[in-house]
Amino acid sequence: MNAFFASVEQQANPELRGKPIAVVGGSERTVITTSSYEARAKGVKTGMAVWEGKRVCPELIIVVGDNRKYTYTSSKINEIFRDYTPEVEAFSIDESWLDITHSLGIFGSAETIAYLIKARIRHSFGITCSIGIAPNKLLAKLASDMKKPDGLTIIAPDDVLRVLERMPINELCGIGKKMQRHLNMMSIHTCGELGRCEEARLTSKFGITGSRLKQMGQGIDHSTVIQFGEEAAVKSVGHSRTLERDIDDPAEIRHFLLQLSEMVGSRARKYNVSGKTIHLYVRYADFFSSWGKQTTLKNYINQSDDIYRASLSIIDTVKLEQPVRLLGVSLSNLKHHAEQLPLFGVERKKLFATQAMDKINDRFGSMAVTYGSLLPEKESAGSHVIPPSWRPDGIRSVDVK
Amino acid sequence: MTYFWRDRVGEVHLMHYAVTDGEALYELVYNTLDQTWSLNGLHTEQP
Repeated sequence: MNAFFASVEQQANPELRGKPIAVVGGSERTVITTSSYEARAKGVKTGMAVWEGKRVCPELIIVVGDNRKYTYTSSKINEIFRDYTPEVEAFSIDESWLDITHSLGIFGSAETIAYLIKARIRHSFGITCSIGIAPNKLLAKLASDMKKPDGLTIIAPDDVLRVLERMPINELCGIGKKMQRHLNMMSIHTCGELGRCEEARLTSKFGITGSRLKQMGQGIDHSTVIQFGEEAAVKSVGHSRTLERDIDDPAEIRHFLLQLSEMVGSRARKYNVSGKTIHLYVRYADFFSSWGKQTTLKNYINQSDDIYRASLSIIDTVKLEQPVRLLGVSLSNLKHHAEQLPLFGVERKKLFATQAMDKINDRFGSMAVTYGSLLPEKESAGSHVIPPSWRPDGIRSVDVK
Repeated sequence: MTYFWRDRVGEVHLMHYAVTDGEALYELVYNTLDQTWSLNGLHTEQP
């Protein structure tokens, strides 16, 4: 999808159409999540602070995003894809891969399918998308990025090497800034150079990834489209949230950790799993520095207060260098939790209370009943940024030992 | 109507409609359990 969040907002509010707009995660947030093409034309970029965006484009309109709109629209768009092939893999909220190998007999050609999809998305939601048609996922992603907005790019099998010859390596999905820097230091700047590089040279520097890099340079990708239900089983249950504003008050951080622990615990209990390892992730206000630490307990846990205590034990060992922008808690090392009544009355009461709370929350919505300390004035913590792990159908499977 | 989306709170399905009268944008929400309508948001160009 092209400038997905901004396009949805422009469709929802006709007043915004044709105007430079920027979507932010929350009313207190200052970083631009995405912007319309009108804003991009004036130099507004994702990740810019709002004040920077306003400096390069004074008429920029700031819109607070509404994830419900985006997740619903994304789910519906993926439903459209499934009318053409069951083999649809959602890569992110606004990107999907489709394997149409077995649909060509029905629809005629890949181009026909692409035009039909573009027309239906435009008709149903008024938004545009860029489609890449290529022999594999790596090249299809590359092709879709080559023409925006509203593009349709085809990389035919015979054309792969010609297209890649002068293509900068950072255009390939999977080569980030760090990898690009390493490759540039080896005098590799284009995909053509990467594909011609001796494999031994790459593997000596990057290990097993070296072979994969060489293949990427040659446009080779054997990965298949993994449709919903066939994904690798989930091995952890976790939640992370970008905070409404950067915080450094330990009490506020603890408050937020409790909220995340309750979300993780509630989901773990829903899946009937418990875990031994708690992982805490913190990203600082500068957007780039972060750390993650984990602890493994003797017992399996899934009660929110146990998860909270374990997260606290991690954060208490760290001196926070800056205000915190994002916090994440996850529970891993999972096993199926065979329900067993605790021996002692106090523990049993706690279990029953938790079960009652989960039932009420299932019926009336998460956090309908929650810890008293989560209630006062801080309910809206979190700017509701959609995590990269979001998928249209939600997470269905949880792997257990 | 300019846009439509759905979400769920617990067992309740909420249907959101963005509608405009040319001057302001309203977000109307239909609660499928109570069968009630509510005004969830109002956006105008002028403060």
